Amino acid sequence: MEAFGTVREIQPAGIDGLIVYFNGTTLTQANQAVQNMKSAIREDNPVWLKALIPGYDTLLVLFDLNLADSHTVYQELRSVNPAQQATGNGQHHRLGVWYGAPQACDFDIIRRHSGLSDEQIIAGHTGQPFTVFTVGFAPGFAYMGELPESLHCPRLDSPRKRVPTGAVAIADAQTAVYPAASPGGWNLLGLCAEPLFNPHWEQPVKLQAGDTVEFYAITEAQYQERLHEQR
Amino acid sequence: MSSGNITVESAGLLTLVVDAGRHLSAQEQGFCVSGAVDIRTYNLVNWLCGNQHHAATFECIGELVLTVDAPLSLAVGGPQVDVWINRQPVPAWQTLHLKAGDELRCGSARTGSKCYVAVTGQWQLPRTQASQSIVMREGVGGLHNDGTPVKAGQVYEIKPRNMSETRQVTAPYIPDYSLSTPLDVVTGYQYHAFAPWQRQLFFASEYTVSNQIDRMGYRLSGQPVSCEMRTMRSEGINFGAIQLPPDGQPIVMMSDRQTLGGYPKIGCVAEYDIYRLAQAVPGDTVTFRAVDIDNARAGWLLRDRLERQLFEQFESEEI
Repeated sequence: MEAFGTVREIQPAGIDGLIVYFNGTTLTQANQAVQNMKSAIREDNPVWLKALIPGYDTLLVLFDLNLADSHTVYQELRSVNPAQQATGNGQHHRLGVWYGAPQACDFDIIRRHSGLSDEQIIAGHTGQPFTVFTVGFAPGFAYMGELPESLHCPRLDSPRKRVPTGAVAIADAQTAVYPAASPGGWNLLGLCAEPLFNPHWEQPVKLQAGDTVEFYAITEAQYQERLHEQR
Repeated sequence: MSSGNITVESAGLLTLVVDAGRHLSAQEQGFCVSGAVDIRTYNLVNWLCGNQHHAATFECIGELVLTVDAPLSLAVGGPQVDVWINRQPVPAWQTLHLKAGDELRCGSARTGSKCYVAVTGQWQLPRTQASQSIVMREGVGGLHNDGTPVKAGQVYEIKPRNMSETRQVTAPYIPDYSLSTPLDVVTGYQYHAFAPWQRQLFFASEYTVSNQIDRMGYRLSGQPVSCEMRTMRSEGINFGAIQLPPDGQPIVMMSDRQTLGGYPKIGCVAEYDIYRLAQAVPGDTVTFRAVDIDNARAGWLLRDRLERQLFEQFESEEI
């Protein structure tokens, strides 16, 4: 299927799916194109639409086989006008982080990779808002970026069996908060007390694609206090 | 109507409660889809019980033993399934009417294959994202909504409906679980990033189902296939997607797959063929055949027609 506009490529993704790959000089731009296309389709709400699963620079469109075929979906992709969608309508969140919490601290690894001091690492992580590119992997796990280049650290060679709830982590150009204890291969910076996922909330996931997140440093006492308030 | 209790006397090797899974849009929040891996058998046993498309069932590996404390209608299906009521053999693929105190026992003669047990009525279990499925990895679903599998001694409460008729899935409707014909694969995703001879190698080779198979993915072993694309960003994974990690051994993504993944994919097992792979056991061999997305849809519509007729016939009878 032919590319057009910000679309670089469209490929089949199963019998009932098309995956759309977007262009962009930066990942932020490509992701903006993903979000624009997503909200444009969502607004049109075609009867055959089953799900829209955004990645960083991709959008997987799943359709009802009884109501559409790949050509129907391609026509929809061509006819929606993502350019007209408003941008930056996501929510802004501020998340306090107890940097260097002993249960979640890879500062020595990060120092080795970046050559930065602890203060510089924290400054790099708190200095700017990050965009939520997509949510996936586990419920409520939000992939955010892009980190300043000086902070780019590769994933651990072998993932940990268990990363604690609320661990704040970085890998390559991304940062994230583990909403629940899980295995994980990212480098840990500290702990965040803010609950990000609860299956019983009406909206179980706090951070949504397109939202912006700003991290700021809190003390251990503040972290414990916030944790306590939630009980 | 009063409720009926099902007591699990033995849960076999692994028994879960599964339904048709969560709404696909739950994936946007990171929830896996979950639900029956062999959705075809799941649908048929529910039809036998006169249930809606989304009713909960037991999905069991090994021998499952249940007793009921009230009259309940049940049905069992799966590959080479044996069923007994009070130790007397009874047919699979038909509605079974149990009396209070009866014991139902079922299992597949093929160790590792999955049986599905449906019950006429509503299961009194919590829902997450509109599904009663147990997802062990996420720790949700089940009696205590903590993702633990079904255990002996547990009691499942059902709000039964009256089911007076006895339905049967007759021979032409019973799924053919054989793996002697190739699994259809809709080529796509990174297909073009595989060199033509690597693609040929994949479709010409026989793969063995390894013992690393779970609801997240089935790992196969055989001829390694490599992709020219070394790094890629995580992207949405559809049911049946065939990932090829750096070791070149295919992993087919199943019901509890994570929503995003970053390995190159050569395509997806066609939705109408996933049930055959879902019922494969370690040591089975499979081959693949390339189909394009439009032919695959035509195949899906044709094969789906039989089952839809079955359900529609039932729905019109109810009026």
